[in-house]
Order: sequence, then C-alpha cells, then structure tokens
Amino acid sequence: MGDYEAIVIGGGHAGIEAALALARLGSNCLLITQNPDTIGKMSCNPAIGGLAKGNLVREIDALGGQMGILADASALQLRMLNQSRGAAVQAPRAQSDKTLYAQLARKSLEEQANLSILMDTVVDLIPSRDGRRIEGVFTERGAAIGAKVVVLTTGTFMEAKLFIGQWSGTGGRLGEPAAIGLGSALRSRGFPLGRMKTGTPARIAASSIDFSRLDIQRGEKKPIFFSFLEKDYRRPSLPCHVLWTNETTHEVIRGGLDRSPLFSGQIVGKGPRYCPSIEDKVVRFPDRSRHQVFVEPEGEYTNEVYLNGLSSSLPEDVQLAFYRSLPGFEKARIVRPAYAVEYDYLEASALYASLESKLLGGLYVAGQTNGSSGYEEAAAQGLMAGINARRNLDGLEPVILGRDEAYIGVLIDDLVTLSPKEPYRMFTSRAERRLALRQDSADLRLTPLGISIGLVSEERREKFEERRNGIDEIRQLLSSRRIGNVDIQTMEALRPHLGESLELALRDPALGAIMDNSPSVRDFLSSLIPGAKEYPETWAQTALLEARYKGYLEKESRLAFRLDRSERLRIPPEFDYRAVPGLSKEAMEKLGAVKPLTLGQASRVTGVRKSDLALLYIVVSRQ
Amino acid sequence: MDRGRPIAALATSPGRSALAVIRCSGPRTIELCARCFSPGEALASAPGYGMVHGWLKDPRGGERIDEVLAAVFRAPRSFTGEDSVEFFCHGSGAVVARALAVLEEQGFSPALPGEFSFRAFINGKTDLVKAEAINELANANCEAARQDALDRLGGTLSKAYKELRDELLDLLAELEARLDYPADEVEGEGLEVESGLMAHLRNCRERVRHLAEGYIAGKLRQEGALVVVAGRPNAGKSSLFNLILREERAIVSPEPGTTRDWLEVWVELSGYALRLVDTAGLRQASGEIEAEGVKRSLELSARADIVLYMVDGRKGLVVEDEDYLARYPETIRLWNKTDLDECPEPPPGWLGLSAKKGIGLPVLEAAVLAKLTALSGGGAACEKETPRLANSRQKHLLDQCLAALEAAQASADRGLPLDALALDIREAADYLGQISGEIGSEEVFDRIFGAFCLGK
Repeated sequence: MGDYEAIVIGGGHAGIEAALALARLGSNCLLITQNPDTIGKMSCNPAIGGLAKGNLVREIDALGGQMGILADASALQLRMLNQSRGAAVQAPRAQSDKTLYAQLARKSLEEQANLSILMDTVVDLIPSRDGRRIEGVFTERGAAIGAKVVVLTTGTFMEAKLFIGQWSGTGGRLGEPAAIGLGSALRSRGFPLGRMKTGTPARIAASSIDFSRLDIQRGEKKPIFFSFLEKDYRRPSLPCHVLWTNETTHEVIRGGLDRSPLFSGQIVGKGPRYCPSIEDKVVRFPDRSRHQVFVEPEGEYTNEVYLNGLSSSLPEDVQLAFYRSLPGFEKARIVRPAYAVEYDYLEASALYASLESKLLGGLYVAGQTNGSSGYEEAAAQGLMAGINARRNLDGLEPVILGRDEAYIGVLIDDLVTLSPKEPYRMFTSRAERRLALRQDSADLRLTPLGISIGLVSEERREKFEERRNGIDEIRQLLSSRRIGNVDIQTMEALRPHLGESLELALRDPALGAIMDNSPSVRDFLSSLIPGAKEYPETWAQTALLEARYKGYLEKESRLAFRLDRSERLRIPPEFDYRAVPGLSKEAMEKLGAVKPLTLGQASRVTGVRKSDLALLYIVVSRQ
Repeated sequence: MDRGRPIAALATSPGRSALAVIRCSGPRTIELCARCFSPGEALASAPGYGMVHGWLKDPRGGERIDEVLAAVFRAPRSFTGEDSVEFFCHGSGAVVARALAVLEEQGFSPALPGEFSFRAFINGKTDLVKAEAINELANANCEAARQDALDRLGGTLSKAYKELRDELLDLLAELEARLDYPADEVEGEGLEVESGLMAHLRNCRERVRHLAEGYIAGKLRQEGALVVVAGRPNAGKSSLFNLILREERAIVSPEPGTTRDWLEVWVELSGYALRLVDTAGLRQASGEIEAEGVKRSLELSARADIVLYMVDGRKGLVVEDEDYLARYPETIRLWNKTDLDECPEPPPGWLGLSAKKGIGLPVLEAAVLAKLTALSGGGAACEKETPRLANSRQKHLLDQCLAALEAAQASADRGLPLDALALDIREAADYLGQISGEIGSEEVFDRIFGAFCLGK
C-alpha cells in the first residue's frame, strides 16, 4: 500500500470538507470509509441550515468549502427563518433530498484531483518512534498506511451501539456496522474519551398518512441560496406538514417508559437537551398537553417521510401505537423505527484551537468525534481541520478564526475550551458579536481569508470582488443621498430625517418596517435612488442591513471590547498553572487540562473564578 | 498592583492614641518582620494566630523603637490569605513613622489604599461586594452605617445582587430562546406571547431601580446628613445649636472649623449621623466679609439634605425670610421664642419652640427624623431586608445597568427587532456581571432548557 501526505478517516460531513480542503490545497490525500456508498449520508433530519447553523454553512461556503453548494443543488424547499426577529438571527434552511445530497457529495470527492477513496476500517493510529507525531494508520484488514497528517472524523460510529426499546446492538446508523477497535486503541494510547448519545425519529411511509388533515408549510417563492455562487439549480419545492401530539400520544408514551433504554439506565451517554426525545419531553414537561411535529420529505424519489420532533428509543410496538395516535396517522406504517445511538467521543480539551491533538502532532480531529452535533457543525470543523493539516505540512501557522470573525470561531473555541459533555449545537446566543456575524455578510468577512489560504476558486473570487465593489457603491449612494422635501411628500416616515443622509435615516426602525414590507429591498432602495435598480437583491440587502444596524453594531463592538482586550493577552502554551500560588485548585486542574491560549479563553473555562482570572491577568501580563 | 512584593501600612488612624496597629502582608513577611523584632526567633517560629511579646527594633545597630505585641498569621489563614504580621505599638506618630521606615528598608512597600482587601479578594477570601463592605465598615461613623456595612459584609447585598442576577438570567433565557428557535417552530409555553418577555424586563428594571435607590439611603447613613440652621441674625440659631449640643451626648467629632464663619458638629439622631451646621445670619450685608458669609450660607443651604429655618416669633416674617423660603421651600420652619408673652402663636406649617428654654425639641427631632426617612426612600429602605449600598462604584454600575434596561424598553417601544433588543439586555447583564460575577452563556442555556420545551 502506497503512502500519502494526508489521510482522512470517515466520509461524513466533516470528512468530506477535510478531504476536499486537503486535496484542493495540493495534498496527496486518501479518504478511508467503511463504505463509499454512505459518503455524505444524512443520518437524521433531511435538512441543512437553520438558525446559526445556516450561518455556519454560509461561512463554510465563503471560505471555499463544499456544503453550501451541495445544499443548494439538492434542496427540496428553501426558507429564510426568523424574518420577524431581526437580521442577525435570520438564517436559511433547506429541506434536502437525502439521496441526491449524498450522491453529489460523493461525486465531488470522486472528481477531485489528488484525492483517493478506500473502503476499509481504521483500527489504530501509528505514532512515531518518539510518540510525538502521527505517521499513519492501521486498518481492520491489517494494512499499515503511512501519512504525515491524519484527520479523524468518526461521527457516531466509534464503538457505537444502537437502542430500540430493550433491543440493542452494535452499529453507527441502523443497518450499518460500528467502527470497532479504534475507540479502545485511542483509550489505551491515553486519549480522553467519553460516551454521548443522540437519537432519530421513525421514517413513515407517506402513502399511509392522510395529509389532508395536516397543516401545510411551504417554502419561499423568492430565491434563497446557501452558496455565494448563487447558482440556480431549478430545484422543485415540496411542502412540509405540521401537526401536534395529543393526550393519547402522551399516555401511550408514559405506558412504555418501563421498557425505555433511556430511563432504565442502559444508555450512559448524555444526550442533547436542545433536541430531546419525545419521551424526554413528556416526562420533563408533564403539564404540556401537546408537542409540535413536522413531517418532512426525505427525498423526491422516496415514499419515506421524517417526523421531526418525535425522536425516540421506545420499543417498536410503543412507537407504532404513539405514531398512530396522531391525526392522519391512524393507518401509519413504519419503514424505519426510531432509535438512539451511543458512541465514543474525544474530549475536545485534548485539542488545540487548530483542531490538532495535544497528544499526537499531525493528528487532527473534527466533527461529532469532538462532541458536537449537526451536519453543519461537523462540516465547519472538517474544513478547518483540513486547512490546518495542510498548513502543518507546509510549516505555516494554523488559521484560527476569532469569535468576532465567524461562528466557526465561536464553535471551535467553545469546543476546545468548554469540552462539552453533551452534544454541542451552535446557537446565535453563543456569539458575543451576533450582529456582526450575519449570514449575508459571511463572504465579506471570510472570502478574503479563503483567497489567501488558497481554497477559493477563480470563479468565486471574481464573483466576490464584483459583489464587494457593488456593496461599496451602494454604501456611497446611501451616504451621499440627502433626504429632501420631495421625499417627505412621498414617504411620510422620512419627515424626522429632513436634511440627513439616507444612510443615517435608515437607523430609524420606522423605515426598517417600510423596508420589510416592500416586495424586495431593491424595490425600497430604488424608490429613493432610482439608479440602484441595477444592483442584485442580495447586494442591496447587505448594504442596507449594515446601515440599519450601524448604531447597534458600534454598541456591540464596545461591549465586546473588554473581551477583546483579554482575548489579546496571550498565555504561553507551556505556562505552568501550578506555579501560580493563590490559584484555586479547580482552576489549576481545569486550566492545566485545557491550556487556553489567551486570557479570554481561560475566562470561558468552566470552574475558573473571577479571582483566578484577576490573578492570571497579573501574572501573565507581567511576563 | 504587584502581588509579588510584601506591603505594610498603618491600620489604625494617624494621630495620638493608646495603640497603633501596623499591618504587614505578602511573601516573606514573617521572615522580614522577624529581622525587625527582638527576640526575632520567637516571631519567626510563632504558629499562626500566635501572639508574641517583644521589641520592635532597627536591625541596623539594633536600636529599640517600641515595646510591642506581634500577631502572626500564616497563609492561607489570614485576612489577606497571605503570611501576615500585625504589630501593636504605642500610638505615637514618631513610633509609627520610625517603624514604617524600618519595615520599608527591609523591603516592604507602603500599601496602596485598599490593597489588603484587594489581596483578600484575589486570594478568594472574599467577594468584591464584601471587600467593599469591609472598607465601608471601617469608615462607618455612626451606628446605622456600621449596621449597614456589617449587613453587606454578611452578604445581604451579595444576596440582593444574586437575586437580580437570577432575574436577568430569566430575561436573557426567555429572549435567547426566541432568537434561537424559529418563530414558527417554538413551542415553549408562553413563548408565543411577547407579554411574558416584557414582564421580565419590567421586573428587572424594578429590581435594579430599587437597589440603586437604596444608594441615597445608604450614602446618607454612611456619610451622614448635612443639616443647616439658617435665619436672620438673632433669630436664636446659636441657642438652638447649643441646645442640641447639650442634649445630644453623642458628639462624634467637632470639626476644626475655627477659621470658618460657621460652626459645625456631628450628632447622632436615631441612628443617623447628622452634620449640623450653624450659618451666618442672613441680612443685607454691610461689609465685604459679611457679604461673603451670607453667600456661603446660601450655598450651604443649597447643598444641605435638611434646612432648619428659624425666625424670631416676636418679629414675624420679613422680606428676607420670604425670599429665603421661596428659594428653599423644603425647609423645616421654626418659630422661636414662644416662651415670651409678646410672641404670637406660630402660623400653620411652623413649629413653635423656645431654643433658650428647651421647649419643643422633641417635635423638632421628630420632624428631622421624618425628613431623613423620606430622603432614605421612605419606610421600605429602612427595613432590614432591603440592603443599602453605599459604594459609588456599585451605584455607577447599577445606574448603567438600569440605563441599558431602559434602552431595551425604548427599543421595544420603537419596534426594533429582538436581536437589537437583546444587545441592550446583554449590556445590562455585563454591567451587573462587573458587580457580582460574569453571566456565561452556558448558564443562559441551562435556563432555556430548564424552562422551555424546545427542539425541532
């Protein structure tokens, strides 16, 4: 077996981005997967994006990653969420054709130069003689494959176990074998591993559901894109459906709790609180008489639908009974039962913010292996791990995005600092600079960096420069356009802004409301600046949102200033916390394990008190 | 502040007294103090909480400075959490000056104001609010101020901040849950209606306002109330002043004010410290010096927490009185010399008294107390459960917190989107965090998931 520069273990959403980034940056790369047919599979819901997650996809795209393009090309429905709650918390979400998404993902890997795919299972890592660097991997079939850098993306497969009622068996997804051996090998090599759990609802045959009794939820008519390339794939728009559980549903669930692996203690791993199973919801919120359920299509050419909000690990007979208690589901047939999966994860505090292991140089870890959840979180880490693995080969400094630059920065900083014990999902409230991290500005924030890294294609670079210059022009128009008496005649809301620039007037929420009620931002803009009609809608959106939020952006930046100051105070990686008398014992242990690189990061380590930080500040700033 | 160096300072007030205490703290303190002590070995080997008798001496030449007691504290069991020594010397300025000079030569730096408390805070011996209470306790100049500071030290104020913090966390959780779950997918109870959010915002504002209002009361008790006695010449102001002096035994400290043209004393009334000031008589000034005196009287009246305005009842009101009262309508009006036959009954709104005979003093005291209570924010602020803060740093941060919450309310009223509103509330949380500890996003999540059933 020939040797490679880089190996990526796993073909999920993290593995795809890591392998593509490595290969596109010129590395001779091998992707090892247990089964090439399952590359890019969506294990749970048939959707990409959503609040905060949609921002992640836009950022991945802005840096030259793949997920946005795949999501646009496989969409079954596109919506912009949260339009009523402000621009900073809006995000695109796509219902996806799962089969098509996976096929397109696999095709993008197969067509990529420098990239090979191999069907095998990695069971151990090969460290260098001195134990400090990785030199390759061992596979199930006894092969030793050499590489200078390795990216580990095992998802939910490492030593994974599935649960349905009292049945349990090994497996990473229902019907697919777990990756056995690697977890115990890592444990014996001293990597800190733990167990996490997640779950998925049943897939029901659409033909067995009476959809006439459900509410319909349709997609947006105006075009929405994840990728800044804004390519129209002429996708169909399929509806989702909405319904509610009822008292009978809850009765049935309560009746089956004695056979639930979750409540009998069979599952030890911690599950995500933000995505609880239906039995969890019924137990924790006994006063609620109903819970919302979304019926989502799994694909254009399949009869299966996904029941969002009803994940479970109850026995199959209980599942069938509670699904059939739903209106329109009286004759429902289960195609795939709901189940829970428990898997090994690596404590992310064992990684640097570059996602490189602190134990073994050249080993990078990304995705659910780090305790995150979600396709988008995985892909974001995969991309950064791929980029930094390549930079490691080139002897370059790693790219570490700041919390004020990108959700990706918040994500990775949180993972390696907090080392979450339950699956970590991105939320907008995790970002201190939420207003600055709008989804529509991801390219302005990150594409220049993507260009300098070398991941941005020529086509993307040209499009970006065109858009950036256009936005600049609109900005100019806004600041030079004065509100005059004529404007007040046509738009009464402008009266208080007579003589002001349009840019300043836009801070008035009354104008914002008019803008929101216009058929498009461009319509609103060209009613005041006729020449602006030529600009694409998305350019106008970004320019006007900036003006609208200017005051609040400044406030946010002032608020974050304190943070930035401590963010800039660097702590040497070899800093000895035990040599600081007065540091609390807990802080000494936690900081010693996490090895934060800045005082800001140290402040986010749980268990570190304010007095510890004051002390650290004094000691570090004196050095 | 550099924690690596040992510090020393006089811990009692300067000036002549029976005893003076010099406090030393920091690395090598015990070793360095032993050098200036005879028998040095006894001090060096003393156990923590040990008291050693001996002589403070100059290690160069061994000259004795004073006979002292030295209390030895070993880290972490000391006020600062560091090795500490306290010398109990005789209270003479010369002894203290010499002792500090010798300690300084040994490597002690003079402690900056509050540095001992700062070290106690850094070493986790106390939280910031408590550290500030220590300072306030030390500065308490009346019983009420002492009680308040002790309450704060005992944690009542910390507790009030904690409750406020809880309220703010609830508000943030409710807001962030709305922002992090799509509008049409949220199924949390109560999340459909905005009124719950507004109610939380209102509660927070009320709590902050309540705490901030306690500042006036706390400050009044900490710093004392300025009470000015004013009136035309010979209205009987000095008699009243002397009467109060004679009756009130609790004179705290007569200020050295001989060069001023007014008299000033500290008295205590029902737990309040009062700074009582007798001013120059108000009349059309004949000379320059007198004109200056009148001007100052008016300035003092403007700054006063309470003004007692006195007239000679026999003479009644003249134009100067009317002018003054029009300017300071909030004064307590005193109708003096009611003991004399030719003095008519006081008009409505005036308290009759005879300063000379001591008639009517209890009524006057009751009126002053009623004013003080009103200034302290009414009866509520005087109840023990409502902690009063007397610290301007905390007050400043509370004011900023309140301003941020009011901005949030204004944003909501103007129809700004929730993401903009959230920024104001985050700002409020940040200010509160500077008083009582940071509010981390993980804590907000705990609340979100504890309170709402969320998750698509």
